[in-house]
Amino acid sequence: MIEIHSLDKTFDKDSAAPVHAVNHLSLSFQEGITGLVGENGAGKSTLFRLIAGTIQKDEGEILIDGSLNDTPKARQSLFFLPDVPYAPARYTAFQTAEFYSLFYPFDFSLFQQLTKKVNLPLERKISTYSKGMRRQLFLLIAFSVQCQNLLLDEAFDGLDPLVMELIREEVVRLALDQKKTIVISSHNIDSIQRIADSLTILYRGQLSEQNNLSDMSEELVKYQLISAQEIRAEDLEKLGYRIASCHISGSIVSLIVVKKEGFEEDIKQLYSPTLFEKVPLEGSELVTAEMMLARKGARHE
Amino acid sequence: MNKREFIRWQIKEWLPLLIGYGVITAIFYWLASYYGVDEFLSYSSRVASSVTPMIVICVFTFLATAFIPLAIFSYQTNRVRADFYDQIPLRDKELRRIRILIVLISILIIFTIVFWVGILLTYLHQVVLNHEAYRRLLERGADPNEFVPYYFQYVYYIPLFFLLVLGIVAHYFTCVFFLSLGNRVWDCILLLVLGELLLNFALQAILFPAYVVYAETFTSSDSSFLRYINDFMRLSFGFGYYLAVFLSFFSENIAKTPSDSSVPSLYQNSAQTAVFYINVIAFLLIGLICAWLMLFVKKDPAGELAGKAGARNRGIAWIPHLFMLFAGFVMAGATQLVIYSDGVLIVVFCFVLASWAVIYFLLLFASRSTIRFAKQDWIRVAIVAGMVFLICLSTGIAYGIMRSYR
Repeated sequence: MIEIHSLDKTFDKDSAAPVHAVNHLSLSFQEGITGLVGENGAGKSTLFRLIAGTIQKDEGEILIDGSLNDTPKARQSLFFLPDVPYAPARYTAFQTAEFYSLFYPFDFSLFQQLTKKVNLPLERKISTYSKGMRRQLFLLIAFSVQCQNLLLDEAFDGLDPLVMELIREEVVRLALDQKKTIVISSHNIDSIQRIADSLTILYRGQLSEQNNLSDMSEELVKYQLISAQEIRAEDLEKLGYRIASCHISGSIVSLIVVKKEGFEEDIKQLYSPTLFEKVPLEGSELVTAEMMLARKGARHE
Repeated sequence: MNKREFIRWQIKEWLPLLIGYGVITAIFYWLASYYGVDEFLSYSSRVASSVTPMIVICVFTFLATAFIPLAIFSYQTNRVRADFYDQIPLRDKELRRIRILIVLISILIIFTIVFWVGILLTYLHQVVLNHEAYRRLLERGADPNEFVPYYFQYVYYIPLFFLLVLGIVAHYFTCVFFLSLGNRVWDCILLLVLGELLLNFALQAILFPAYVVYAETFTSSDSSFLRYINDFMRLSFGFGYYLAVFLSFFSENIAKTPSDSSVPSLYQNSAQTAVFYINVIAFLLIGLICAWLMLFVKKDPAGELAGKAGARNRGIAWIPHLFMLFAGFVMAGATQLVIYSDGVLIVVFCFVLASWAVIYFLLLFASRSTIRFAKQDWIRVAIVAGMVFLICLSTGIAYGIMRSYR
């Protein structure tokens, strides 16, 4: 479990335009899989790097399984896979795994088993690997490291669909069998929503939302409608409705809205739609809608 | 985390670098010994020839202690590497300590092997093959007017070895300190060069006048041991000395070869006296400029390393180490003076040495604001105390041998 209290980090403090990357953030990551999402520059990678101790925090406290994050005990129980992981030059894939085993307890049999599944050539130098293969290798190393807490930054980027499926399965297996705390950031929203138990959304260094996906889906509703009149999100927002997205495709308008009584009646009265129906909200739409709400600051209004 | 395995891996990683240092130093040092066999390890008035192999091994070792530590801090100058090493289950201090000690111990082991194999080869060359240099030594040893037994020259290299080790350790830690301040490779190199200049110029400014005053007061200008002192003063300053010589182009006496120069001659007329003072002032000024430039270079990490720990001087108890460097240079200069002098100077030498050790310990206490030391601090204190003991003992033995023949 990872607990964060009033964490704050500002880059370029002395410059004319300081960057407040993490703004007095308090949250916790429980056992299971948490998806960490947010727009570019929301502070996801900075948050990971602060938790892993690779950058210094300005304020706040980070506890990993109850220990301060800069203690060897905490570090022993945390593995952070950054967007660009390190491996000594000229190393083969197997040597890279051996290198990581110097620092962390490592399950070599699991590693070899997983590499066989994805057909990774272990004796090849990783400098000859493609970007996707490198990503696969480091994800498999992360799964083979026996740490209770895993931080996976940009976890699914660059993976082909077959490997992505295997990786997703493995993440779920780790979370279930070994009861690990796994935090995954990725722009691959579909993958995140398929495996995550809960979702944490960051917006400009602040926590926008942290909830499990089922609760989130309770809050939002998606409509499709056809109307002769132009439907604009701003007009509906003026009426006090929180519009996560308003998408027009041909004559059909798709609206994702935070649930509120009277919305359906107002739509019928204002736009006299020829088609007006509730449609199921897909997982990726749900996550995107939450991110849109975070951007609009709708939740804080 | 398996520290032992990590240390083994780290040594393996740096092995080519360390072997490179050892091989290059050995080749040049042994070649210099071979071609200088007429003079090296011999009682000779041709000081330049007799110490050339020493200059070679010192220059290469001083270069190694300056630049090999770049590898220690290489992880700090690249975001990907820094991210990795900053998150491993090892405190930053401990990681640095392990890497610093691996390089230091490796350099010392290589230096010791190369040094003594060189001495042994020269000894075999001279003694076993009955070389002319050896026969000359025997003749001198048999001469009742001479007080130097033939093997004295070989015995003499024991205290010198320990002094050089002290100099290497001091120089190494000083370089480590300068390098630890940089956040980028070029910053590290710039800081190292500026730091070397600063130290050398500052030392020149302090030691040189003291040396001249001593030479003027207590010795005659043609004293043979003065030439040795002069020689070892040059040797001990490291490569920074030669840069200083280059910069002080207007001072002929300093730039001359050791065998031609005698320091008191600087004081022979008013023009030379003026040159001397100009040099001292120039050394101080250049030292100050270097200090200012170092402050200019030292800055918090920016760009991809933004948010990192800042200038990496954490965990380096640098004051005692800088003092060690200072003391090492002074004592390296004093060694020959002691061995070729009477018993009074032995007392002075031991007094200087003991004072240095006491001040070193006091600085260590002061830098930690406590007298309760951690285990590793006690180990460091024990190493310094051991070094002092070994230098005193070996110097005393060398002096005793010489005295028994007088």
